[in-house]
Amino acid sequence: MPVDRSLVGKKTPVYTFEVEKGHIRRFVEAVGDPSPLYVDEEFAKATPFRGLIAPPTFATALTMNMPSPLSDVPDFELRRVLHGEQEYVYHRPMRPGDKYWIQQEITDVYDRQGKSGRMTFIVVEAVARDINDLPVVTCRSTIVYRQDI
Amino acid sequence: MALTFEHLREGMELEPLVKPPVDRVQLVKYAGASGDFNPLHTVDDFARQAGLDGVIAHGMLSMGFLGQYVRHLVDAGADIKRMQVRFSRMVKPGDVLTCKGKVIAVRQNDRTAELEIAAVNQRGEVVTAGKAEVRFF
Repeated sequence: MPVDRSLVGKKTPVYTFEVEKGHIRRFVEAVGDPSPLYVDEEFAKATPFRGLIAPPTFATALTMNMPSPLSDVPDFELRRVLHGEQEYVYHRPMRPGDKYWIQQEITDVYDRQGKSGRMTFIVVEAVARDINDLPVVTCRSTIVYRQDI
Repeated sequence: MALTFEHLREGMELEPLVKPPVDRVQLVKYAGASGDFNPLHTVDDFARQAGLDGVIAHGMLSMGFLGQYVRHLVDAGADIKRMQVRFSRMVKPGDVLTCKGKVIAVRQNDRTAELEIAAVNQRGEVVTAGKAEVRFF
């Protein structure tokens, strides 16, 4: 299966992800984000969020190092990959203690000619749903695959 | 001082946030915390094989800075409903990113504001830019 339009529609199985307080803490430490909303329970309780939430880009952890619709594509080389675009739509806040059911799907693939030759853009969409099957966050990543490096 | 919905005006420039220089330890910590273990961000030899001079930061780290910026702007006074960015330049260890923002739309009916956001490096080049939507309580 080459890295081309034949990948459109390829999905992962549904997998689960549990949001852990310590994971959020390590994430905001790495970013250097000092907001108490993510780590200080007493502070967060007194806000309209009524408790700790995760920062918006924590959503990346829902898809990284997880089942990927690209992981079993033969000859897919990580060194050719760049991250082109990222979008998150937040339907409700992510909170420590939550469990999500996530599925990722390749929704689009298209080619562009770039400085370093042919580049294939791969759009991967992931939707995380909660225990009530309500969407929590929709993640849309555009991966740039450099075919000619 | 966090922004309040009542003070927002279309076209309003928002106070920038200057981040400390990106460093290699941060990239290792970010790899661990995000789960993005692409060695392009942590192993120089691998990055060279990919045609770069050395490791580059995760694009998502710069988006993380912008997430920090948006939260810093609104504090706990608004919910972040959407973020979208394009990664247009690489970030290397030592780069200093400044997050900048501007109000591009204010919607009274659902107390939502659309912000233009950008992370700019020490040479004034935009590395990561896009939009965020925040809904005030």
